[in-house]
Amino acid sequence: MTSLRFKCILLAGFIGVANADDLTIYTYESFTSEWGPGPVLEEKFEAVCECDVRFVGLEDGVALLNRLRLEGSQTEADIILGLDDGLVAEATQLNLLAEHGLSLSGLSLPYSWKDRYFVPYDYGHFAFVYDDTRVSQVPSSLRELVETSDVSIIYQDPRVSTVGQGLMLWIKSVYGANSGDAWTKLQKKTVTVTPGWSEAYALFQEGKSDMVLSYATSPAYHLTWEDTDKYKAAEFSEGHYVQIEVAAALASSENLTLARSFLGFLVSQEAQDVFAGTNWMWPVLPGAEKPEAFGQLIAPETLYFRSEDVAAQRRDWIKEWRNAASQ
Amino acid sequence: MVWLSKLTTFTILLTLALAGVGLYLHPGYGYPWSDYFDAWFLKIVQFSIWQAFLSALFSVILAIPFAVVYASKPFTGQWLLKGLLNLFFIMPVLTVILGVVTAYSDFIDVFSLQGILLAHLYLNVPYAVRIFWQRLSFVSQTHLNVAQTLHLSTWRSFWWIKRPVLVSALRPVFVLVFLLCFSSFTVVLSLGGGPANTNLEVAIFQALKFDFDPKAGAIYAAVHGILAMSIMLLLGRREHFGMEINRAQAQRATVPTKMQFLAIATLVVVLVYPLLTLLAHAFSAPFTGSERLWRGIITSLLLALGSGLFATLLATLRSLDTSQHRLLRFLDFGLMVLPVMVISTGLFLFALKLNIAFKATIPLIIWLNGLMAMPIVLGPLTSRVQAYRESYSRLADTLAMSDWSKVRYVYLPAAAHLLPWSLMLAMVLSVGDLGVAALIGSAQFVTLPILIYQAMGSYQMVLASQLTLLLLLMCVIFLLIAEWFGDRTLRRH
Repeated sequence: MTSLRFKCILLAGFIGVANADDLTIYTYESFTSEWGPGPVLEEKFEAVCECDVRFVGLEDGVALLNRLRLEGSQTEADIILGLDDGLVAEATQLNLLAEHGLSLSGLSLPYSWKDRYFVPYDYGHFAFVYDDTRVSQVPSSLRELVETSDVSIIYQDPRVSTVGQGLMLWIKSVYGANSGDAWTKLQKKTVTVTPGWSEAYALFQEGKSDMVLSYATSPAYHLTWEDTDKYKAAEFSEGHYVQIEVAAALASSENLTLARSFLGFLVSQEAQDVFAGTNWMWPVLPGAEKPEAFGQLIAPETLYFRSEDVAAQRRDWIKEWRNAASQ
Repeated sequence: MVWLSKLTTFTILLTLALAGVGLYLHPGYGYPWSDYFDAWFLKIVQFSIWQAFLSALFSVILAIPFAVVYASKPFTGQWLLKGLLNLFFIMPVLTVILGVVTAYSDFIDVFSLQGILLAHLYLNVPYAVRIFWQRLSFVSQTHLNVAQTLHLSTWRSFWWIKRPVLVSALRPVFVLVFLLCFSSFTVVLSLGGGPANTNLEVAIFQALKFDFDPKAGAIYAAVHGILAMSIMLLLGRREHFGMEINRAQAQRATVPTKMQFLAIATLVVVLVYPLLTLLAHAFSAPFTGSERLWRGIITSLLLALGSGLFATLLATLRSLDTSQHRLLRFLDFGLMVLPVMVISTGLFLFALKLNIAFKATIPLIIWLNGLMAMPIVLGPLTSRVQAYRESYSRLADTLAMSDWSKVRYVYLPAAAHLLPWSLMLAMVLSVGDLGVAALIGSAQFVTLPILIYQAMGSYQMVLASQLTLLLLLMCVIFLLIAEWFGDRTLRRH
């Protein structure tokens, strides 16, 4: 009996069964990387919570939603962090979330936010980033990129990545019913479609393509850490699709109080100071610290769909992309 | 006694039945049927078939010349070459994938159909060479003597004696390689590089992981199963594909001819090259372990041990029944080529329905990998038991031994010294599994292959190479242990 129990403990140790004061957070890969916000936030929050914060990095944002659907109420996660505004309605429909109970009135966002479940923590506009020293004919609109330009691009799989999904929504808001054609045209310029943002950006930096789908804020990273202004975000005349990144607690969590306090922490000054300089996105708290380079970024027009509309049509839009991109 | 062996048949049938129920009772929502049969569906079916066809075609074309040269006469040290060829058949697929990536990414775009084909060639050409070689070695000496007496030229003797042998082996080898590649998951997932290169196995995985659309998964699985079965039926009677992993009998061998030497050198260089680049890559940066890594390694060992034991148990029980019933052979062989994803998906959905999917991860993986490894370790066990039966069954009948004592005193001792070897082989086959673990594990579940896939997914090729080397090392250790046991039991008997 004793040895059996010992074996169970041993097994539990290997497989990682949650402890009472563990906070398990499902997020996307780059959030947890050495340079991402994950490690800093973990350290800051653990200093006040007397708990153990564990980030589990999945491929990218949409993969998070799929994971949640798959695991349902059997999930080990207390918090899901890294979905974006487009997925809010679809995630809420799963009935797995707990209300955050926070007042979010002091936040500055591209459009007003009143969701009961999701807490926004940063935002940014999608943009194609290029190397100024390598690309001379930079398209000035999405239509030019799709139709006449001959630059090569890398983007992310919209079934996995919220960035790829952003391009899908961007194309939809510019092309509407003609998006299928636009994808077919874009397919000819596509070097590859990667599962997540990290892979796409790494390939771009290795010189595998002229442009990569990323954020208008990405050049700030290169300005700050590499002291170079050769990486630029192309400004498109139709406006840029925006992304608000959000987090929510799961109703199935055994540590709901702790989970809620983490959500509160996310919009506190202390955590907000971290986002601009690690996640390279705009913090949602107006007074939060930002690297100087944020002053040199483009300030594009905002495009967005209501997340109810995205929820209603995402599958059809994905099929449209899939049929065009697999040819 | 036969009832004992029925346990294995029962397990296989139960698995298939539960998988079927799981697929049928899938949770989650679905869309109208017509919704699934769109341009995308046609595209993936087309890609699955085309890719498998090309892989099989090139494997056969490349394998035949090597096999012909090797089989022209027995040569010293051929066991070593056979060992290398066998190694490529049982080696974790990830090793080959990463080898191909590190060796060829400077020359071609490996994340494409080309890369997929290249990896499939590495996995299947050695296997095809091995079977053609084996078949050609069966050409009787009498035939060759007659050819000599008739003064047939080399070409004519090839045409009249060896060609028919090759032709008779052609269809089964082609079909088998086709099936293996048709059901290929890890290679296509890792080297697909975008939605254009998706086969049915990967589509099943994506339907569950990306869209949480079990109905799509079930439909793709059913289509895959039906196609694989129809292709299997093309085989007609089961042929002899069993890898001769038994140590070969000593033959009268001489120094290889120049031609043989050239063929050996070429194949060895081509096969070993990606392994060397993998090694070079792995040692190009210091190794940093992590807590997740240890968890991954230990989980992988645990899974391999469990699957190995389960596979050995199933195979031992199964080997007690040496009757060649069609259904049994069909099941054994079917397991080898049936899409793992289909069965895994079914069982996983069934477990989801019961709300135990993430509590039962380890038993589920052991169950599935054990079943998959069973047919491969079965062959040698069966022939051993058969041999004992031929020698002792009369004696046992004369002594009026009960079934149970026959098992206890005749068949189990017969199988006994093969068991450690079977266990280790099954462990090698299971430890590299990516598909099953990735499909049914929760987000926090890590095995060594999952870590390798994640490192590769973020293009951390050095880390991926290091981890792959670790995986390979584990396999080599298992095989060495198997050899050691083999030697010990040989000495004892």
